[in-house]
Parts: sequence; structure tokens; C-alpha cells
Amino acid sequence: MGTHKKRRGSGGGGEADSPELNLMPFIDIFAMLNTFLLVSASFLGLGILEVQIPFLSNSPDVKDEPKRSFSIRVDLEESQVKVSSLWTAPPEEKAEKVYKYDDVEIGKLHQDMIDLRTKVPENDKVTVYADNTVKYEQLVKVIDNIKTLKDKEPRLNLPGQEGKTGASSFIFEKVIIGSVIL
Amino acid sequence: MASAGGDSNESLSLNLTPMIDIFSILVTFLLMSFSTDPTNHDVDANLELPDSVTMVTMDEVPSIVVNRNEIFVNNKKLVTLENGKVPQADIQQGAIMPVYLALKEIDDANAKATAELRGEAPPVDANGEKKAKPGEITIEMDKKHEFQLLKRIMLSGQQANFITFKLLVAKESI
Repeated sequence: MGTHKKRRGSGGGGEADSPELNLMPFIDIFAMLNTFLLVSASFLGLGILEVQIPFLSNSPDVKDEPKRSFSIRVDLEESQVKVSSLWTAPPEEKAEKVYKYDDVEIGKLHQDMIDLRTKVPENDKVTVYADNTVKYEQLVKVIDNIKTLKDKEPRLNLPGQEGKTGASSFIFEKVIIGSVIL
Repeated sequence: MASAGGDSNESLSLNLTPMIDIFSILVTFLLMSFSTDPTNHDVDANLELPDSVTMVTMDEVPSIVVNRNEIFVNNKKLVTLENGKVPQADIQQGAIMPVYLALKEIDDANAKATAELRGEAPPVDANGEKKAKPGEITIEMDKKHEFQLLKRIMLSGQQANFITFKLLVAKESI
């Protein structure tokens, strides 16, 4: 199969025949494989960012809301992002920070979101408000940095997430677009 | 090089090793990027998706597509945008009327299908309209659009009983 003998000059001891591999079948297979893979390849990976909007319901709220909870609000304006965090009951601790849309500042926002989640692990929700003129690209960039840990970042050690698969790649799992309300 | 019309008996032999090297590298690269994901979707040629580091893979084909000039729901063109904005005639209570009506139809169909699956009558709300559990919908939108357009689409969805939106993005890691 696939080999034939090639006559070579004598290397000592008369006329020695050395076998040579016939590469043509290999090339045929590779060419077929290439064609199939090129046709089926997807060069753009598609992902999703899940967001929620407020929903008004008549059904009674069965959950007991804690008396003191931590809320995070992110306001997107045309040139900057404002992050405010607040405890809802005394002792009230209110903090506000402003970031520009450049990579360095957005990186800081991302790190601050990780710190906020680590500080209050029970809160997994962020409410986002945006001005009408904010670009969709900017909104996705900010949500991305609020919601998802980057590939090489260590996963957060959050209580209640042991054994869960996939959940640990999130910083804040729930992002609510607060501006979408009548 | 062997002459074409000479009397030499020498035959040309092509060196195939570099060619096989190239093929091997190409096959390795293609095998690495080969996806066995059953959900396959071609992004609209007239839009550019925003980049994201999300690790959540697309699990359903987008129902709402907003390219640079038009809005489609389930591949049906509903609105033609004017400079990236919805024409005033199509707006009602902040929502986009044709989008709302199309989404309401989907919601009713979902409610009916769910009820049939469970073998019960479709649930109705106080106005006698069919009501299902709030649903989720995937949006594919051009990255240059303004938030106002997304807000209007989300408002239309909210009124048609959709409260979870999956924004389709291009994964940066690929």
C-alpha cells in the first residue's frame, strides 16, 4: 500500500532499494478534510448576555425582604459611568464613583464590582440606568464588566455556589435594566 | 529546470513535504475552531455585534433582529428605521406598536402551547386575555444603535409579557 521502491546509487553493497512513501493519498484526505472543516467552521463565536427588566405583578410577594439590604445602581451617561452603592437601612453607607469609558477606567469599574460582590456576597443584583443617547456598544461593555469575570481571573468564592457549574464565572448574575419602565 | 522540448529523460518530482506541513497546520487550526454546537446562526450582514467576554453560548436563534435600517421579528420586517430611530407613527406609549403586536402573538402561542402540553385550558388574566409565565427573548442588534431604540424594543417586550432579554454578542475569545 502506498509505497514503492526507488532505485538509488550504491551506498555500499550493490544496488539497494529504499522504500518511499506515496504521499498522494494523504494529500487527497487532507484536501477533503480541509474542505469539510472550512465549510463547517464558524469564525465568529456567538454568546449571550442575559438582562432583565422590571416587571409589575399583582401576585403577592412571598419572599421576606431583609430589613437592611445592599443595592447597587449603575448610571450610564454619554461620557461617563456612575456607580452608587447603598445600604437601605442605618447605618447607611453610601458610596459613589465615576468612570470614563476608556479601557483603564472600565477596568477599574470591573475591579470595583468584584470588590463590591466580595464585600456583600448575598447581593447578586445590579440595576442599570442609561441615558437615551448611550450607544448599545457602551451598554454591552459596561454590562460585560459588571456581570462576567474574564477568562484568566480567579473565580469568586461565594457562599452557596459550591458545586454549581458555570455560576462562578459571574460577578453579578442579575442585571436589571431599570430605565425600561412606563 | 527540465526543458520542454529537450531530449533529456529526467522527470520532475514535486516536493510534497511543505505542502503536507501547511495542510497539517490548517487542519489543526480548523479542528480547534470546529464547533459541534447544534445552534447555528448566520448574523445579519447589515449589522455588527458588540464584543463581549461572556462565556454563555447562544442557545436559541434570535427572534428580534435590529440591523442598521430595519427591525425584524421572526424574519418578518416590521419597521424601517429613519436615521436609527423609529418613525413616530409606529410609537405608542413609548413602545413600538408593530413589534409589540408580533411579540404578543408569540406570547399567546407560547401560552397556548404550554397549556396544551399540560392538558389544561390556557390561563387568562383579569381582561380575559391569555396569560403565560413571563418569557424570554433573544435580541440581535447593531452595536452603533442608541439605547433609546433598545429601550423601546424592551418596552414592547414588557407589554407583551417578556421580561428577560438575551443580548446576542460576539465572543472576544474566539
